[in-house]
Amino acid sequence: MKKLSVILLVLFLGFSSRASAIFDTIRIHEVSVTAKKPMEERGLNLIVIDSTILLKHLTGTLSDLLVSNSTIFMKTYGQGALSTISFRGTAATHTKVSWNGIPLNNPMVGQVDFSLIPVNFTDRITLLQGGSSLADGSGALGGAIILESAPSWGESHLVKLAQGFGSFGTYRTLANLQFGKDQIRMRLKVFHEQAENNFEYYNNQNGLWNYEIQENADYQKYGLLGELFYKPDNKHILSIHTWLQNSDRNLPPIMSYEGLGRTEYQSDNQVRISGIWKYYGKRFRSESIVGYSSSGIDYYLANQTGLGLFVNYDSRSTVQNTIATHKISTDISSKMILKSQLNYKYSMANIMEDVSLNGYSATRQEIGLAMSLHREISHNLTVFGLMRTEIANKDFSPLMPSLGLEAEIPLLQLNICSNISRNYNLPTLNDLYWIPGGNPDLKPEEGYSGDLSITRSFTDLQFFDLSMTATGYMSGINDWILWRPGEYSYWMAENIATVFARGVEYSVNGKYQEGGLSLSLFGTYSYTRTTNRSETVAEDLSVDKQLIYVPVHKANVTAKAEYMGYHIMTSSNYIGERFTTSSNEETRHTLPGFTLFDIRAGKEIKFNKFNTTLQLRINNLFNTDYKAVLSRPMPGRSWEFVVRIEI
Amino acid sequence: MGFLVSCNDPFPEKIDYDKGSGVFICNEGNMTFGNASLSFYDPGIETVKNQVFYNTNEFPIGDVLQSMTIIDSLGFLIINNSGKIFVMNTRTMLHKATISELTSPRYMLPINEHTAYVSDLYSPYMTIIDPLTFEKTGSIFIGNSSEKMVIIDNFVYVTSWSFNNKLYKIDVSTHIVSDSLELTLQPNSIVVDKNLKLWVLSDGGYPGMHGAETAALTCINPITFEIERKLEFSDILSSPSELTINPAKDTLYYLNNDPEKTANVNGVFPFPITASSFAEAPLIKSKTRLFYGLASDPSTGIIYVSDAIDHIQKGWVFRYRSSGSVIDSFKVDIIPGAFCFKEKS
Repeated sequence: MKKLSVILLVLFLGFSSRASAIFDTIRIHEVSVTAKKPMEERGLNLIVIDSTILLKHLTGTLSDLLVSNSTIFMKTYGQGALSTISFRGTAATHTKVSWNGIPLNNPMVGQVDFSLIPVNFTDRITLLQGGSSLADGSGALGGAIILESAPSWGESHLVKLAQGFGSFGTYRTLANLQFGKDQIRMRLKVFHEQAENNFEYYNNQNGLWNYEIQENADYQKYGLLGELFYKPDNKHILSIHTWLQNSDRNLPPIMSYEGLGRTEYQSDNQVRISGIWKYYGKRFRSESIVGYSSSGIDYYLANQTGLGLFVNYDSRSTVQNTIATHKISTDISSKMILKSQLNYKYSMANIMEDVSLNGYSATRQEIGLAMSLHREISHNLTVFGLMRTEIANKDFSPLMPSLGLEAEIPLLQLNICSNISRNYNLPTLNDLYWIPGGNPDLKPEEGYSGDLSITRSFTDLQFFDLSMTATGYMSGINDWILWRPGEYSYWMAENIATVFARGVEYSVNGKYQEGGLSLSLFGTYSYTRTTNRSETVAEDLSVDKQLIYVPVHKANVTAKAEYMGYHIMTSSNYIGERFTTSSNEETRHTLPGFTLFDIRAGKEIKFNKFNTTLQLRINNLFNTDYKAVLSRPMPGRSWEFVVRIEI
Repeated sequence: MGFLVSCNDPFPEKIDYDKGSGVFICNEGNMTFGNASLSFYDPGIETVKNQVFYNTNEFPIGDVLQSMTIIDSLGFLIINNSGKIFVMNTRTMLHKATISELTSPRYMLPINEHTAYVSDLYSPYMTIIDPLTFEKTGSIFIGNSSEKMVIIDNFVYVTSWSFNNKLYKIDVSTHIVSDSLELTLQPNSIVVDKNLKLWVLSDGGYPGMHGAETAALTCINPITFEIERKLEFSDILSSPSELTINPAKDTLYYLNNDPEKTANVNGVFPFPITASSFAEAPLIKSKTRLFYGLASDPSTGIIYVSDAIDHIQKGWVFRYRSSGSVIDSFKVDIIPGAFCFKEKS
């Protein structure tokens, strides 16, 4: 691991020194800077995921996409199973995700299951890192992920079909239709995915030392997206978005299980509807969103007994959110943009468990107001300031400010972006009201963060595009909510911990194009230290130790070559060691780091109006034995064949 | 492959490090992490050895080591969320057999040479096993979950803790429930005193729980199967647990929240069986710690208490004299819960 960080460090320094060498010979008049960020984005540390990456992951989930194309870490229980995020070393509740203005975080648990977000249902993915997330909303102490739809106005009719089938009974089907004319576009997208997940693995945890087939890990999910876009003129776009999805997953027992048998499953049902009206005036722009979402989760656990299945846990939870957002952006002058945002959210949650007859119902109303200003000081320097305030039920949160700046140094082809902020994250409804142990007196978690990123772009090379970004960040979170045992027999939620997260992120993106040959290389590395700063109980050895399940090192490299309709792509992902004890003591339960290699190769065939792509994928090429979560087996080498047809 | 070969070795080096008395500590581990482990403490040399099962057998115990019962030289490790019992030689720590296909085993009680009962959290049945052949030989229908058990003469008394309020009486000659008694909600532990009376501790559930009530200690006459005394705790929030008894069988001990507490502390409270009310202050204060497990050595009366700290790091065991003064402490593993005393063999 240490070796890897050194290699990457050398890589960056190497590029830097080479860069200065190039600079020595640069003829000034040839210096050009790539298209500048729009002024409204300057001073914000954001990343827009390249649309070609979305296309590559079309049949996949947002979890898979982010793991291999960003510095973000996902804790995943396996294919199709729960996948939760750690953005810049924070907890899953500290990343806020929205889709066409609708928050996807479940207010009961605060987090998002990224395995339930199909890449195909979004057209644009924006990562607002750290404090820059305040531009979209509060609470995202790690960052925010914004998913948006954008139709292609250029074409009236589009048909895209994809069918994949692969190891362990995996089938993925999707169909996208777009039709319309003049100012109207309608889109219909459907997908279906299922897998038996019955892979073989070596079980060294039950004393039998045998190969076993993973059982009860099968899943099925399907979804439908209907969208209507209306553009009466060049100033208005009205759209309606409806996303319906169902997922049924069986949950497998852990490797040491040798019991009589059990049935454990989770069903997720989601409905999301939003209406958006965007107005683009000459100096005034506005966006109005109204939305509704409902999310139901059923969880069931029954154990086999002499009498048949005996139900131990059977719960139903439903959450409904109603939201309204109004955003205004005014060009005060050609060098100044004033923005304001008003958010309203009403959440209703209800959970009932049928065996214990326990449950709770709760509502929460949130109103947020933000004002921000982007001011271009000079051609190469823009500053940004934001102030946000919120009321949750009747409690005002303290002010949440954010300051940023963005500078270009054309001579060095450098872009510098920095942001500092203070942010607050509301407790989840479970933290407040769960029986037993929910604590209605919890305060919001308080986060301070600052980051600085430097991007160096090489755009003056003949066939070559290269850019590198290095970012350093620091954030402190106070009143971090933890569930911990108390003097009574149950655990309680408390504002107990202080966490310090800091790290370095590095990404490199290179493209080479000459004639019919196209080569691309994309790599990221992240160093994440996220440590507990507080002794929450006596003799607590977790002080200054890494949070569990957050790797210090993570890296990925994707290389792709295309020539005459053929393509080949390899990607490798390295996840470093992860601790499973808060004290980070050396135990055999520390999960070792691992590297997975995937390879994809295919051919594009054009026939009349049909554009067909055939692709073979091999995942975990070297059959690496690894674990993402303790006592959960992961599959070895597997394959998948995908056919994609575009008309 | 080298790893594979070494794991397949059917005769790992035998560790014959202890033939004397001592205490096993069941480190439950985190549910679904599969990181349970077994520690052994030898009070003679004041030494603890952790991971004694894994280090000998090179495979883990599994998920949630709820309790351990010793019959002769064999230790029965009750592995709750792995649905099995490992049988282990307590002298060599070598795994001897696995009793699998259980539902959610919690505790084991030896009845006679060929019979032991195993209680179960997630099954309406208890399981009967043969501790000599390591086979399941039958089951007892309870109708609810079953927890801690004691035996007096021909009857086993078993508490039904999880969301229930019953004490069941089982006739061991027929393995059939012959009677049941309604107690305060969630009876979690049971002991027998020197007068052969049953003492049951109920935690009463928790605030907001369906049917929650005030915790209580109940004394029951096993012959008439009637309640003789019932003492309710004064604090509605109290959730006492881990009822245990000294070797003379005249003083009970339990864990409860300390009424004088600041935040997050509890203590070991004594209760002489002749007492008419609960002690105001604990015999042993946890101070800033939080006690999790409690046991009394049946031969010496030394009180063992465990501290699981934040439940995701290695915990501690403290030993106290019956006067409440501390003897020593030692570090064990993740979530030390149950204790199992091994006599000199």
